[in-house]
Amino acid sequence: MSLDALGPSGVAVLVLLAAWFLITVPHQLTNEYGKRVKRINMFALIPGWTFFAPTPGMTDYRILFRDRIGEEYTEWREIEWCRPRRLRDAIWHPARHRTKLIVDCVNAFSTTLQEMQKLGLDVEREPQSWMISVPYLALLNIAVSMPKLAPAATARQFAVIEQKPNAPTERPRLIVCSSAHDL
Amino acid sequence: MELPTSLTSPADACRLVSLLFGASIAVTFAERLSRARDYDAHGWFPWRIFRFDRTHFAMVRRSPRFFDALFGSVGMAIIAVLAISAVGVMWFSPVASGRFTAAVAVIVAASLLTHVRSTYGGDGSQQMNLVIGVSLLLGFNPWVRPAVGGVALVFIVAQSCLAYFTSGVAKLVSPIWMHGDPLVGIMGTTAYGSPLGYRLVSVDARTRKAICISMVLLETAFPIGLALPHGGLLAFLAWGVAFHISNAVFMGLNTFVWSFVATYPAVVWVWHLLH
Repeated sequence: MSLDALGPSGVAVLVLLAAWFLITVPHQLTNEYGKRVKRINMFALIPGWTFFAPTPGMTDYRILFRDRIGEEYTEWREIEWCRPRRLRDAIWHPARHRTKLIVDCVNAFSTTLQEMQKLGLDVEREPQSWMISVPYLALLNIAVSMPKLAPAATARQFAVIEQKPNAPTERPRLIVCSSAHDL
Repeated sequence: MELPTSLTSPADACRLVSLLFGASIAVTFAERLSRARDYDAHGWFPWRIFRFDRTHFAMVRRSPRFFDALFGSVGMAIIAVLAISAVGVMWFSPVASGRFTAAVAVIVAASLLTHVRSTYGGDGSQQMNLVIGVSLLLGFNPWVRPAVGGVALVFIVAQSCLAYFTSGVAKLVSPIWMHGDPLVGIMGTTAYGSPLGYRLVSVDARTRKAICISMVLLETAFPIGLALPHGGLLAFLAWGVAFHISNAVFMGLNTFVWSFVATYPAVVWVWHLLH
């Protein structure tokens, strides 16, 4: 196939697709080149193909919330955001978008905390630094979208914990426990 | 819609690619449409939150009402309906005709808008759909010569081979994949596992290890299929279909079947080109 056979518009297509492919290659790497591409890849137009690797997700994320009534709190309640697999999920699976949203938000939130710590921020003492991050706000939004646990509830607190499903005796890891947000 | 009997011309390969790609798009947007309320102000995907990732774009700051409407539940439902309708038009239009191009342009625009709205909740099939959609749009339209279709198909194959190869290599260098027990770990989760899958992989550690290693090696070696005789290529593609179907059944990754298998007619066309 010669460039003459493509014509001017064809050559433009060739250059565009070649550039797209060439920038996709370093995006698969975890080194500085990969990080550079990730920084400019705001719309995820450059694909990342490292599915479930190098570290596959082998834990369950559980989201809990409780409401404040005056000075008291209700019991913790869990948000059932992911139900067990069904055979029909292989064909029709609208819930997968919510599943991926939670996984993405929790992972992005953990990354945000790590990056803030690298910058020298004390994320324990300065929660306002991550409370305005999009993944935190998205998780908070999910928590506050649940019905009130009591009519008189005035605020809601939520927590995200990580648990290994095959190790029931292992203590779950707390990822975040929010302050009480007004309802 | 006429299905091609061989895959020796770019147009024939494009017809089959568009058929499978269209299925992925139709299922993805129909799923989003069935959960349209998730995109309203109080749903799980509210633009009022995700727009904070986009406020550095002057257009988003200048026209907040437009973007509120576009990325709200009604706007997203309209985008989904347009994308699903465009799939029907694409399927029943001659390849590279004006109607075909318009339909693919609508699908690509809908996919791009989904990416622009938010990257949270997106997945690899969505990324492959964008790769395929843009390729079909640029390579099969009335304004480019037929040879450009070949360039588009080669690009699809390059991305497909890179996807399998990268996924395989990333596992090869991973201590968890090589020395741990990732299949039991993944299958045990609620999000991407299943009770049946967990029971199956829990039976025997040796069999599990063999499945794990063979999967990683086949992913990594996928591009070699292009250099093998016809039977070797078909064996790789048959493995790919089985792999994606098992991921759909056990992990709920339903649209990966359509979007990744959609690249296979292009793989076969490139194989013919090389042999």
